[in-house]
Amino acid sequence: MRWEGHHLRSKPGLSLVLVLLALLGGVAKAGGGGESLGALKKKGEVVTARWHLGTLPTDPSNAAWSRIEPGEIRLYPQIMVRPKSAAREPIALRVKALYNQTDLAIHLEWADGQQATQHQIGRFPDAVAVQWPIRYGPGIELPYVGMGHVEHPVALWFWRADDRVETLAAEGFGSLTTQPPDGVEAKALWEQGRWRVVLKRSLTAPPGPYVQINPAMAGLVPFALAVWNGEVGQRDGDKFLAGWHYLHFEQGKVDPQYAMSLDWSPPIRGNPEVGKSLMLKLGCAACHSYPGSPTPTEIGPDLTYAGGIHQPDYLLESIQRPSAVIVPDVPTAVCCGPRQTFSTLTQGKRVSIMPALQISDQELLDLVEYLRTLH
Amino acid sequence: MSKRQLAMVMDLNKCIGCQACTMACKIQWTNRNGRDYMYWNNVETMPGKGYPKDWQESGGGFDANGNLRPGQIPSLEKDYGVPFDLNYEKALGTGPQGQEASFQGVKNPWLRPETEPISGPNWDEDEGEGEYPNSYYFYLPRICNHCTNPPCLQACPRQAIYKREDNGIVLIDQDRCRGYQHCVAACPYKKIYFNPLFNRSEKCIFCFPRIEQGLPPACASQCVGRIRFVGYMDDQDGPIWKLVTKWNVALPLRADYGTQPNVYYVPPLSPPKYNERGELTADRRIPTEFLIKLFGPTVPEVYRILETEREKKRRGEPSELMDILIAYRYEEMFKLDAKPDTTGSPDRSGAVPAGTSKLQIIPISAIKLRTSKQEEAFNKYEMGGTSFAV
Repeated sequence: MRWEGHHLRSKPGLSLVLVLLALLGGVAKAGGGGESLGALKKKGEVVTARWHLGTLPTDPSNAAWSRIEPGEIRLYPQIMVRPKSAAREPIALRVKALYNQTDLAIHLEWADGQQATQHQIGRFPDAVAVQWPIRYGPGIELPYVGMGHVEHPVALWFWRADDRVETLAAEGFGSLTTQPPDGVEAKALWEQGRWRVVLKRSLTAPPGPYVQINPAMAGLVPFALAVWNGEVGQRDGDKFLAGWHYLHFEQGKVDPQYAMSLDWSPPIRGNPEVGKSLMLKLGCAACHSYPGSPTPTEIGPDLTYAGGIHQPDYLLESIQRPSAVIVPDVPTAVCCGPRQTFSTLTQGKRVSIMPALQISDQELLDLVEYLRTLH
Repeated sequence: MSKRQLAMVMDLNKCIGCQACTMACKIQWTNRNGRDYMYWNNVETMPGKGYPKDWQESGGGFDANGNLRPGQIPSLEKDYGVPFDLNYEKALGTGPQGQEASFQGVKNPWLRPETEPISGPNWDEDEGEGEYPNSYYFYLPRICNHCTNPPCLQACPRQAIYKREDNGIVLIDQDRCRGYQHCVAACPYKKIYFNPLFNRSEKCIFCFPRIEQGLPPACASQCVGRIRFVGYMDDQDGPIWKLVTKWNVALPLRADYGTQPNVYYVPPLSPPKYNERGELTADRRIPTEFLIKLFGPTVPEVYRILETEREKKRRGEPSELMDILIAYRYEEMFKLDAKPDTTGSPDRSGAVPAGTSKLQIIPISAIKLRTSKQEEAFNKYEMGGTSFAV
């Protein structure tokens, strides 16, 4: 958890209590990098990259892959900004990773009953992407999970079933840009209704908007995932996506402070039931759609999968200081209806259209706990 | 909105459907590299389904509130038509198996497509409507409308589509495009095409490399019927302003889509109908309602102006409108060298130099493009070593 950070600066009265609590929490967990990592693992947020002697296998059917346990990650339909997914159910993706002195290989496996391998007129290929923060580590905020945001860019390894692999970078919706190759390669196999794709790259990358990996220094690396089902026309924002997860290099060094900062364990427990009733009481439902919300609306982002996609501390920050992270608008209307906008330009600064709520810390955490149940 | 807007007026009374424009465009831009199926310029028979088939029913554009309407991506097989080769070798006996095929026991040695097409550009050419002797049709040549409010631009989540400040030409940045085809669906005229070879979408570029040299687009340049006028909307000495604004006889196509198109049409007059006794009547063969659907409610008014001016000319009286439409002098149909009437900053370094007063024929391969980064990128991949002839 991240209470020590800037979240509470705006509310000095209450932050004192929380900072104290946080410090106590920190003391209790002193030297507990392993403990926090354990907690993250328990929550299913960690995939362990196994050490591998020799060359890493790129063939998805190589026996080395079958010897390791996968991490299972849920991906949710992207329904926050246009173009949205029409899918209504999350999908599961299995992740395995191997590394050695020089390289990292990631094995991704998911169900897709009908392979789509053509990019043609009105036809789109299946695809998968691994998203990395370009900067990560202690004290560095995670980028917005949906393509990053300004000053917090993301790098992406992108494989597409028409035999294309590329490295891209983005700093918000609509900004995705192909980069000169960083050496990522891919091999894919579709068999019996399942895709298996291996993405492999050297741990280090040339200077530029790429992810640099150094397990000896930082053995815990955030990543997120996206999958496109070409058969139903998915491309662009119409996709499934996962929230931030962490790749733990089993022989790498884990900074305990960093592991702790990633683990959500607030000193005050929120009550999701109370949070749910607050959603109506505070008027959240006027702008946000969520399961059981009275009327569908597009004014604010759809929260149906908010808990699955977003970090709890991102959710907390979004409620407490809506303008802390301004997600860039999609620059155009896309399809269809009026253009969506979640912010306005006020005196040259982007400000969220969401009002800051005058609520107690307990209520804040009740809301966060409710949002966490949405996945 | 761009500072200035280039526009084209097409006089449908003069179009003979010869497709010289289509071929000029195809040879210049679309006969290779994944573009074989594309017709940035096409001429379709109206009434008819058009190209791609039923484009008018394919959605896109804006609704009454100015919001993007959903649209469809046409099908290659059913709507555009798959380009085909003819069985020359088999039918004419020129290939290795040709002799056998065409002379010894083959039942149908006719020249025909290798694969049976089920659709294509101009599939319903000259069919039209109505019963003899009152049957009717006319030709409708179409390019990208380079709309003032382009729905393709609004539909692209990546801002890959832009409208040039200096002349309003709508272009796709080939470096930004990722082939999502939202623009293809959003264009109600279906004038954006996906290139399956380059995985990017492409469209009519109003021959901007020619425009920058003071030349009209290839389609207009090659038009044997002299139906196409090209110039800036705000140039009061040019044919566009005179036809669109002064004489009000050039109308936008399907303005109800809300995109503010910049290609204008002089609607076709039509011969009178015969009655059962074979006598001419006062009724027009092309139903006015049909033309109103295409060109808007002022069609009857345009008819009145055209007929009045035509009568004047017949009587030997002067008519500025008829003189423009007749297009006595080819070079007067295009006015691309006008200086902007704003006192603002000049458009850009690539603009046509002032004082270019007459057309020069310059081989395109010799043109050094002084354009923005995106356009350079377009040309880099487009030219790809191919040289162009005007």
